[in-house]
Amino acid sequence: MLMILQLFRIILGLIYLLFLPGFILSFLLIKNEKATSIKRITLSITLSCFLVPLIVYYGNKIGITINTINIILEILTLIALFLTAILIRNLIRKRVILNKLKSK
Amino acid sequence: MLDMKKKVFKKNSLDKLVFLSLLLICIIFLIFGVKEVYRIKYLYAYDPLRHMNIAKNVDSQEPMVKTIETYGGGKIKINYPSIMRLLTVTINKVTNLSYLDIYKLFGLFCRILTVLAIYITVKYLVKNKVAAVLASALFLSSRYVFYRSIITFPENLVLPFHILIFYDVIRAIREKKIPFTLPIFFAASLLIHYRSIIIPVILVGILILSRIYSYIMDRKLAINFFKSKALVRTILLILICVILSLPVLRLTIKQYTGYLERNIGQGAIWASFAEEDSHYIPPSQETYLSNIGIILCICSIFSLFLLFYKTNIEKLTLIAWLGFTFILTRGTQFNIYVPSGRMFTYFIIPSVIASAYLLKVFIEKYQKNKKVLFCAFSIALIFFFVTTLSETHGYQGISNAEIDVCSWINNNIASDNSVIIFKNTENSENNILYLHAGLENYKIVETRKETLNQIFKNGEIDKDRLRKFYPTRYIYLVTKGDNENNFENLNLDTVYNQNGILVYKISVP
Repeated sequence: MLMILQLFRIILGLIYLLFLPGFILSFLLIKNEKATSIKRITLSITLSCFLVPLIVYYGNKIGITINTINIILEILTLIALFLTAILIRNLIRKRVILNKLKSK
Repeated sequence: MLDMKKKVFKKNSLDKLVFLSLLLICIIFLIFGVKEVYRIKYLYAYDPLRHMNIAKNVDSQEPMVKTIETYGGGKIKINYPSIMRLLTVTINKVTNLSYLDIYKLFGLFCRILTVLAIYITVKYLVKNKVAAVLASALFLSSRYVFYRSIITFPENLVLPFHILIFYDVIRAIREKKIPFTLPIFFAASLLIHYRSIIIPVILVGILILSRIYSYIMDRKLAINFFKSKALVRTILLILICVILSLPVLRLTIKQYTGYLERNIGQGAIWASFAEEDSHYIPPSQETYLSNIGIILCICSIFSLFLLFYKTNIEKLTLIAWLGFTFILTRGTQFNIYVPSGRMFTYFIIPSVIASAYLLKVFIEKYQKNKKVLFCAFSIALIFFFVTTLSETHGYQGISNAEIDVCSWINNNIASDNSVIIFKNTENSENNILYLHAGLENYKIVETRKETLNQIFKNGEIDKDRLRKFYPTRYIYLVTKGDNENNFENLNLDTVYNQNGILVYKISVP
């Protein structure tokens, strides 16, 4: 049972660290129609490999110690920031389209 | 309608075949890689061991560890910081995987990422999925690529970023718009391995030069650029890059000015050293063939004709990348004093991408039998791949003797004692060169030859100096049995004698 839990921790941990932050950022940087699944996976992993240590580094510079909970929270903050940016961008786009339709 | 359905079905089946082939290639590579990595007890070489120990130190020190506290009170300078270590620290903390496992497997993970980067780049460059898969397989079939994959170091992690920078440069040339990912990848490669930043600099330099050339040729285009949003976008991108790479920017500039003085030109400090060291001697044709792989060598040579035929900026960028990395592999011939062997990885990547042009020509020539050709080539490659990998046994840098003595010291000697490592051998086989990397918890671990020469001279121990330098009660001297100083005549208390390594206990009165 303990081994299964450990295996879950490894798999979920790796996805959380090496995929998720980059995956969400990729929606900000690349248009949907331009990205194939392999391209998005590749960019997600590469971006995560860069973002995760960078956020931990800057976090440590402002006094946040490097431990499991802090790392998880830092990444969660990063993900929340990206999601907010995506939401704002979509709202702006919708408004622009609506304005265009109104002016027509 | 029926034709359309047939076409869609054909496209989908080819897509699936391509995806499955890519997956199969990666799985085969991983099977051989994991098997090889766990074949030996510890790590493959000193480099990952060094990085692993620095990563362990990150917990107690600052994250961009520039120094490591191993010598009593003093510090060893780590010659470059890298966020790769910080990434391994986060993996360790979140997944609870041991550092040893992470440093055994991370190199393989980086290689798979490189394969994916090659796939998307080649697919975009030659617009052919089959060629992209074959190029990826070609990359992994190289013996040198496999050997370097089982060693975890920043060089491995930076490679996908180099490829993606090339991909973004090509995108910028084609779409006439710089992608937002370019400065991010540039900053990433700087933060991961700033020593190799010259390659992205060349790629981005070509992009800038091509833009300037087009603006000189067409004044209207230049005026439009300065009036449009593109200028703001470019400034913003440069700013992003600078802000992200701030932690190592100053260090990189300092390092590169140092390189110019020490490593480049006839008067370089390394020149005399490089003549004697085999790592600096330009490789022979046989070395190229055995390391890069025969198929890849043939493909890249023939691809050169295609690259020079109907040349455009995209092809020129690739030629420049290929040419520069080739020069790096033969560094000393061009008065660039870099270890030739280490440059192979950088050379293999543009070679693989160039080979895609030849593969595309083949695939298009036999268009009708695309699937048959694809399957035949894949089988040939996988066969070559499997036979190469099974023959490849990487260099086992850390000897078992060294691991044994290191664990003995850790288990039997209290950490408040001094450990002196007397290394007088230049031979890398079975030496105790980097033993200190496994003893970072000790109060004093001494390896400096000039200090040791002051204490042990003329076959005697200068006890006054010993007391002065190492004020601990006991001092443990680690040395090889065939030591020229002949410690056996000093009648020291031998506490360990195994595999040609001796540990003496010296009590300081």
